[in-house]
Amino acid sequence: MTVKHLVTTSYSTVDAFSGTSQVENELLEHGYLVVFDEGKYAGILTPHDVLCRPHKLVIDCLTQKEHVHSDDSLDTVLNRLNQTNAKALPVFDDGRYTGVIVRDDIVVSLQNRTKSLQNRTKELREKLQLARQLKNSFLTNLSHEVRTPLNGILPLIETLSELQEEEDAQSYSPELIELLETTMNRFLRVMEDLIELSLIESGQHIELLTTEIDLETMFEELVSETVRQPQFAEKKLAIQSQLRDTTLRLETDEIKLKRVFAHLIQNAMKFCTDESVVTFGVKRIESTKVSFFVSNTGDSIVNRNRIFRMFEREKNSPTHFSEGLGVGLAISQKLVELLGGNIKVLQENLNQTMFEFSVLLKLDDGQKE
Amino acid sequence: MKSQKPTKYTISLSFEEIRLPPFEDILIIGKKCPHGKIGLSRSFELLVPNEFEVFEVNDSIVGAVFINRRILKKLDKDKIIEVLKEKVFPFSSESEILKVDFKLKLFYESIEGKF
Repeated sequence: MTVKHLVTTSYSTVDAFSGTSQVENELLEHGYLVVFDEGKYAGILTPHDVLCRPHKLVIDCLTQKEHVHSDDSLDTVLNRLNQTNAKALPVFDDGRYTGVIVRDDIVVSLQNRTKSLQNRTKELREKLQLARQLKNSFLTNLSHEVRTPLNGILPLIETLSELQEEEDAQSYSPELIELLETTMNRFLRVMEDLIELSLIESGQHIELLTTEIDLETMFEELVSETVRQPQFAEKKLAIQSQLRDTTLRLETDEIKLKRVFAHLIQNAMKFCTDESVVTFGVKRIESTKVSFFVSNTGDSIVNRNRIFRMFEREKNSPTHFSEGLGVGLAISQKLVELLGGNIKVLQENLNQTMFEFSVLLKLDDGQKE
Repeated sequence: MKSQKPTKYTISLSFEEIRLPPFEDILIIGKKCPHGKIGLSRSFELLVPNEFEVFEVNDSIVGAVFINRRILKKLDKDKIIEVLKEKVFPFSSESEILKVDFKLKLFYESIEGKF
């Protein structure tokens, strides 16, 4: 760090041929005076100069002072000031006088720098702490989410292989097969979330494939995929899509848009009450954007401010956190941002939660990578 | 009632011609005299431009010496300062300015030549 920004031309000056008794008071007040002889720099007068060489005229009292350059480092200048015990030193660049550097200004600058470094250190420490917490949270979630289905799958496979040894094929239990399938699907979802998360974190997910989308078809696909999910049948849910304007034309990345809906619908199914309805569709059309929604009935979200954070999970019972890694909403948020929009959660009333997100009607070239 | 006698005063008055600068030959400046060599040099330069030269000397009491150029034409400055160091500096003090009259005469022992 150089001292360029500390060089000042704001100081008290005195004529070289002034009497020392004239400038006494001013000299004591400021600690130094810059001396000029017919507009040309002549030197810096200090009380020490006047004491050591007590002459009538200022110019006769001046002693040669070490000078510094504006490109000199803070340390170099500070050492020079300490060695000479001077309050200020002249600055010369390319042989020309450009100003003075004052000890007090350096001290203040160092104090500010120290404070700034302390704040930065504190900030980094907090970020590190958060990163550690996230890492721990992730590892805990991951460990549980991977182990749980595997703990279910392995015994099932053992049982099936035992049954296979029996010659009677009707011994196979369809429930076992179904359970195996459900457990495998849960495991697969965790793996898909992990892969999607790693793509987003590594920046590979920013590539956008824009096509014209048929919303009606997409909504039908979402409904049919949802009803096949075990949770849908277990909780006896219903799903409803809303698309009033079937002529709505949207040009965006269909895969990413569908992933957003899939995550939000998955989330809604997790938290809605049994025998309730999950609804999704178009909420509002504006000049450049379209807003979509996914809503469900169920308990209200406790941590609305943190719900989009990675690995943040709500409890779906008084004692248990919901299933999953806690990355679905965070991934949805990132995908929505890629599509030029934003996402928020609305609490319509105590028993109804709605996620609303917007995307651009037409992705600009600037949005494409 | 006392009578008030008129107050009397006497003045001792004298005057003489003063020439500026107040010296012709050599000025010796003490290290701690009120007038420094730069101030003196500038004022002499204003009064009698280009007549004097200033030399700093390496001495514990004397700071600088002003020598008239016409003397320097006749005798080298080192020789002049050597003489001053031996004959004058021991009698000067730090806070003084001394005026030195330095009249130089040159003698030739013999002048030979052919007609």
